[in-house]
Amino acid sequence: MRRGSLLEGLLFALALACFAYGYGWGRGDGRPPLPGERLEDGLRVMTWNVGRATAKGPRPLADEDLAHVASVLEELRPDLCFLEEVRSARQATELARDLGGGWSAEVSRGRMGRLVAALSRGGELRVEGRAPRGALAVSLRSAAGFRVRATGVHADAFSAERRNELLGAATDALLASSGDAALCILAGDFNLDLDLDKRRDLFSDDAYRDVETYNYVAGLLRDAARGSGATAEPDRRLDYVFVGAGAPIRAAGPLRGLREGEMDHDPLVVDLGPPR
Amino acid sequence: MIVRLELLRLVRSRRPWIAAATVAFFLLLMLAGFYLYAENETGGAAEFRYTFENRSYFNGLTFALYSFYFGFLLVLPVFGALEGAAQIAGDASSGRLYLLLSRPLSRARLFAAKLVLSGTQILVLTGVLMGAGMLLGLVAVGWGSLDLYPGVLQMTDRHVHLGQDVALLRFLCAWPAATLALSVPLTLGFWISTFGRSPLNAAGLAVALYLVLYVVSEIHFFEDLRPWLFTSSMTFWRGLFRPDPEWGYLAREAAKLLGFALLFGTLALGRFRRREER
Repeated sequence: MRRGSLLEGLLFALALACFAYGYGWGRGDGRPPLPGERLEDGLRVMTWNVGRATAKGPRPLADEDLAHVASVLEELRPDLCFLEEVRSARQATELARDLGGGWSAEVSRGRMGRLVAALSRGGELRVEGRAPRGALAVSLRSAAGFRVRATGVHADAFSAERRNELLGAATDALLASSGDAALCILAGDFNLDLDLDKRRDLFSDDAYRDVETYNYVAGLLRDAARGSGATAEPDRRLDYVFVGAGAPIRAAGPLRGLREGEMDHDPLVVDLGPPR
Repeated sequence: MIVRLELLRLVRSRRPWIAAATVAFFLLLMLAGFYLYAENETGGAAEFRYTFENRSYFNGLTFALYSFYFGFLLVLPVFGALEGAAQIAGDASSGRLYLLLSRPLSRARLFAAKLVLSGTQILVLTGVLMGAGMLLGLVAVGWGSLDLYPGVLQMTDRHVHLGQDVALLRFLCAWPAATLALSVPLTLGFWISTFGRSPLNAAGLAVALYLVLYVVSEIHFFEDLRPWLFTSSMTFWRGLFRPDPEWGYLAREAAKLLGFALLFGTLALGRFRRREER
């Protein structure tokens, strides 16, 4: 009887050891580190859909949220930030003005209420070429002195085909015009959620095509925040920052607790080291 | 001696043959479905500019992998849970357990003999599903290299290309890995079967429990609960079909499953040793 109990105890201890190793007790969760203190030699990129998800449907950035958005930008101090669902060019200008000296803003062409805005802190922000509708292509010189080409996008929420066309065209245009830029960045609300373990029956008319779209971009650029978790309600990873080769990804992930009111996205922040 | 006796009883029970026949029927259904799917997918025009689809997507290895994947998810765990549940409760119900325990044989040894035999049965059944799928794929479709594309089958989130020799080696590695995963529903069935004398109730409960856990682990709203369910880790062997498998991840998932198998096995052993037979 005692030998049997000993065997049971031994097996139980073995099971515990397996769980300890499997669940990584005493280790981190394996996710990339979240951005913390901003480092001066690199580049901090941010994308944030600042629209609201209301009971009456999606609504663009509200004027009363401008002060909150400005305070978040002030706190996080990104070198480049793309905001999606900006109502008008006036809002972007007001944001840059509220943020004070050194900040500049540009906005995409397109439908009022679904504009993409780019804000940069002391980065000589410039609009580059004609980006596809729903996208904004810009260039800037980072504080650390290297040139960056970046495109911000806000893809269609309800059509996989339109997402596919916009993201494919924006990627092609970005890479074709990268020129002497040390770093290429594609960021924004892609409206794709590709978690393999999820049922994808919400907000998507063709998940199969979305996977192909994602892979087209991922074949050319790196998904900087891969594995860092959901960026939007309910538990969806819709916002992405893709970067070209060369710049090490120091930290990446959505920052929780920064939404205001009925906003449904978290800001996604990526810290990059200087391109090699 | 006890192992030989148990083996004889297992063969006479016809359970292995029923399981093998079900696997064969499943593979034939998969083959029919595979042909229809391939016809639809490769016969149509490409709708999008940015696509990876090509016409050599479907071949024997792809068929073998997908049929194994679905069979592993939906067929084999049911047989694993059933086999486990049939052991102690089945013997108790027929009165054989009382006879077995009247021999000079420790309960732990009897339990180990049953566990080893049913584990071997699951190993063989897993091999049969994989081997028969590959053979059927070779005869009906023809092998080639293994190309996996993202899509509705959710096997991968990016294009994967494996040469034939590498792919076959990965299949070989996936066999014991999948068997390890199936040992969890098997030991769960064992544990449940130590509680009663009705094999039907034990089998029903074990299969129902597995299905409930499987469904919960598939629903993303249970994000915080899912990592703690063994069903969330069961398909970890899919990681072997990446060009560069993440061995650390595979080892951790295997450890979780081994932990669950040991836990259920230990609980079953403890319960069996203390169980009163009438």
